[in-house]
Amino acid sequence: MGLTLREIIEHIGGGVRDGRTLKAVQMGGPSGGCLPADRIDLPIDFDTLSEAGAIMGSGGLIIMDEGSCMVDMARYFLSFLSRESCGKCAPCRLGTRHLLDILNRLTEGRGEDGDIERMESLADTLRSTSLCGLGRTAANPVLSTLRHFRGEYLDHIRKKECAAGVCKNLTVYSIDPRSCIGCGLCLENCPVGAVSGARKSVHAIEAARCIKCGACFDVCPPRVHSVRKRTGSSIPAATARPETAKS
Amino acid sequence: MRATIDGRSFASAGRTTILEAARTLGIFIPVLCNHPRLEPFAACRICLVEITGRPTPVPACATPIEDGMVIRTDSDGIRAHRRAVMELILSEHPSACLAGAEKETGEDGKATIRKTAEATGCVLVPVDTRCELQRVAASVGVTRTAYPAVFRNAAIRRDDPYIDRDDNLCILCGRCVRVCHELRGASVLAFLHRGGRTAIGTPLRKSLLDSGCRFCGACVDACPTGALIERAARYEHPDCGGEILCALCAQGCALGLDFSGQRPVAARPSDGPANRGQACVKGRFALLDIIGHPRRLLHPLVRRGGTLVESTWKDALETAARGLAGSAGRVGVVASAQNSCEDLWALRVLARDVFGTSRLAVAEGLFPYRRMKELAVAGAVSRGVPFADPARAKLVFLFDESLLRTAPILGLEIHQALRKGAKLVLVGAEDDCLDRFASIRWKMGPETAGLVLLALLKILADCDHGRPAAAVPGFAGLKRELRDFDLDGFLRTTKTTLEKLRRVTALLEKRTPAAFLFGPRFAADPWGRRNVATLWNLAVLTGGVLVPIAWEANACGAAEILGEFEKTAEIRAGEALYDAGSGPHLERGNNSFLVVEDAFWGESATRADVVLPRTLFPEQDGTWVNAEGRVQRSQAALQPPGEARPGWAIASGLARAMGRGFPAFDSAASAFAGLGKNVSAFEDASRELAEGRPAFMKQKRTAKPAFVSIPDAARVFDPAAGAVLGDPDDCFGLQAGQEIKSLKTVRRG
Repeated sequence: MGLTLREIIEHIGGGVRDGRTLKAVQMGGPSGGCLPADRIDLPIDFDTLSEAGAIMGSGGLIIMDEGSCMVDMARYFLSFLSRESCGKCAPCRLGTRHLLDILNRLTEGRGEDGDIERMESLADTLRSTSLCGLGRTAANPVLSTLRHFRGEYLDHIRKKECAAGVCKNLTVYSIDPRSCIGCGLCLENCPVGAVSGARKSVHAIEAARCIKCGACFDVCPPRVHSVRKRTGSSIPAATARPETAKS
Repeated sequence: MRATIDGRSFASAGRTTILEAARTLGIFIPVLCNHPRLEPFAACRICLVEITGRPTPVPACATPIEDGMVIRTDSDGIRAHRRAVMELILSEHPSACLAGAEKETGEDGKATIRKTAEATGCVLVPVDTRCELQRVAASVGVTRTAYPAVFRNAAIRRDDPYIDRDDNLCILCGRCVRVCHELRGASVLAFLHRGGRTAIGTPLRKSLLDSGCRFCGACVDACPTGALIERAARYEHPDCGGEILCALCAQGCALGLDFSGQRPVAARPSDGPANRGQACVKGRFALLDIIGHPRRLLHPLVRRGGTLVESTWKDALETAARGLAGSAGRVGVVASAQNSCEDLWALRVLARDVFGTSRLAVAEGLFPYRRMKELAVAGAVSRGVPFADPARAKLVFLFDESLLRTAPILGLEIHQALRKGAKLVLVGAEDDCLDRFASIRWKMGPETAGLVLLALLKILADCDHGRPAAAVPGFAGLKRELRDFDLDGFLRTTKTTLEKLRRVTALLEKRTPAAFLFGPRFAADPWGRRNVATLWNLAVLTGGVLVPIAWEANACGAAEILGEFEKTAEIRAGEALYDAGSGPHLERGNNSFLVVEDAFWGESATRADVVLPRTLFPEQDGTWVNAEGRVQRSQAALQPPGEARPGWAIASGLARAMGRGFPAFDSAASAFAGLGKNVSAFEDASRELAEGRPAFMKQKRTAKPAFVSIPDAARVFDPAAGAVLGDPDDCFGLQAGQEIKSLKTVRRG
């Protein structure tokens, strides 16, 4: 109590790993809220946090760097809360379900204009009409991310872009033929055999087979940096997203 | 307590919910999961209201009014919330039936994703016009939902008699589950799974039949959608209704009949004084099968040249008159306690004044009431006991009756008493639905049950803990009689332990008042006298009440109207017989001339010289006295089949054919007026009915309660020697429990 988040993250926790930058702090458990990096100098107490859109809740802290997608995070917590709903009252049983439904669409690149407003109105219904605390707070992950990371939601909807590269449907992996040294690491590590090419020759990723697990991206030596992860408008037309608009 | 609802002030002394308060003020609040007879559930969130000073809306159904509350039921915010919740609910319910143009025909619905509605049967079923969800959605102002349909893709369950279940239409309001548990005590339906997978069903998803369902239909009536629906009426579109009194047993349930044109399509319980919105499988589902049974008699039949041929009423009545006149003064008459008061009165007048006979017997025996009448000298009242009395009991004794079958509504009251903490002692040979509620269970027939009571009586009388019983007349004599009772011998032969008996006597001493429920099996000859006399003494000793249970619709009334009906109830062979009852109790012998007045073609009709077809209760005006002694009137709601006539009309016609002007009833009302003038128990009923007040049969206590001598004490009877009682499901000549397929399935299950 009274410590700032920065003190906890940087002094007690040892700071963000591998020199990455802090993006957000999710706190208070699944139905808690999250704060962006520029708010971590806030002292931890009930009033300050709830004013900033987060809660003490369970006291848990999840520290996220730029490799985390806030839409995906909201989706993850909603899927948990939707499963946790007991099913007695209609708003919670169905509200969490439809919220999750929209978030699923967003992370799959099927977002539409108006989804944000739909989520906000659902969140209001959940908060005001649910029977118990679970339903009343179930929309918090959505509301707090919308408050601080609205741009990320808009990118998912309009540009079909996931800056963190977490939402698989919005991400394309490709190999830059100019820098590939043909080491074969990506070839060996691809679990589905989507990488083609022989040793010592330039590799390529077959988009149709790629499951976007990111294994090739992770093993490609940093000095080579030939496997590229692209999203939204940065996806080259030639390797455009395969249509996966299955319902 | 004072509160303000929508600017109007409300004051109440007791605890009341916002919903109830609003209703008394005439303020409409839409509800879905709320049911007037059930505990609040607060799940549907449609009844939300605003209370000044509270951050979020609260459900009106589950929030008690507090002093000084300022409530708004119709603000913009509340209306928006209701719409939002309704849209969510509709996303889970195939709802083509709600959307504008589609509402009329359902045609457009077929082309959309919501064609599921048709596939699962909402758009084109009667629920489409009765659907409560539809009405509530309209009142909230929602015609479409913004959300994608959540379709459960569940198979329709059609493996049970009478009831179809379609999970796809369910909105999980839980009314069925609660009505099954709270009101009916069956606990067959339950919530399965949780969260988004929540569903209504039976444990292990078995059929209702295998889960112990008695098919009372309460869940079907409680369902606000078509998720639980009566199969036979599924595709009917009833356009008008009628009200009748169910005379299939002695409970006196008010039923509503739904008609499609002239054709009755379904019966459902109404909010009658005796049944308060509940019914049983017979009234709810089997009624139309019974009255429309192919064995119904449609035309008068007359025996010509050895065979029965169709005839006219005039010819049939004249033939009957000739045959009966030939043996004037020696005519036996059999009445049925299922008949209306008017029919019974007309028959009594016919027997006494026209046939000049006193041999008037009741086909069903009426053993419980006959026994109570025998005890009248000791202060017993044979008039029925209001259902509220056993419901107040702290201890319930039930002898050899399957209550849910023979007295379903009384059974509900008993169940409520048990829920409130009463204990049940169950004595009977067969398994019973109430078994699981019993604190003490004796598996024995009525021939032995009397001995148990004697043993209890002996134990209680011997260790009289300062009870004022000694002051009651006959106590000394009773003690003398009980001295001879061999308790040790009884314990040996019945394999009962003294501890078990002492547990019951402890209950009898502590938990007062007790209610002793007994029916025809317990009271039947030859052991009935002993049994009921013992029970009466026990009741006098412990301050309990005797509750006779009759199986026949008008047993209570018949016992009064037919007054001193022949005790031996045997019809002498070789005489003429006018048989208007179908009970199996009587030995009819060979009759010189037999007139049968019946509703169904049956064994007695095959032997008859003249067969006169009579109407059943939905087809005639009439008055019935239920097991409570409540006098209830029913109006004809159906056209009689063929040429069938009500019993009083047949009796009048026959009297005229015999050249007697009496009884000359031209309507049920005139027959009832005659009854009111001549039978004291009905003196006030006519006036009370006319004034629309609850009418009860009048009966005075003729003596102060006293102990009576117990005949045949300690005698061991042969169980096979009991009087033939037939089956509680019998309806005139129709053994409904055997002959109606679905009812047979239910009764077996």
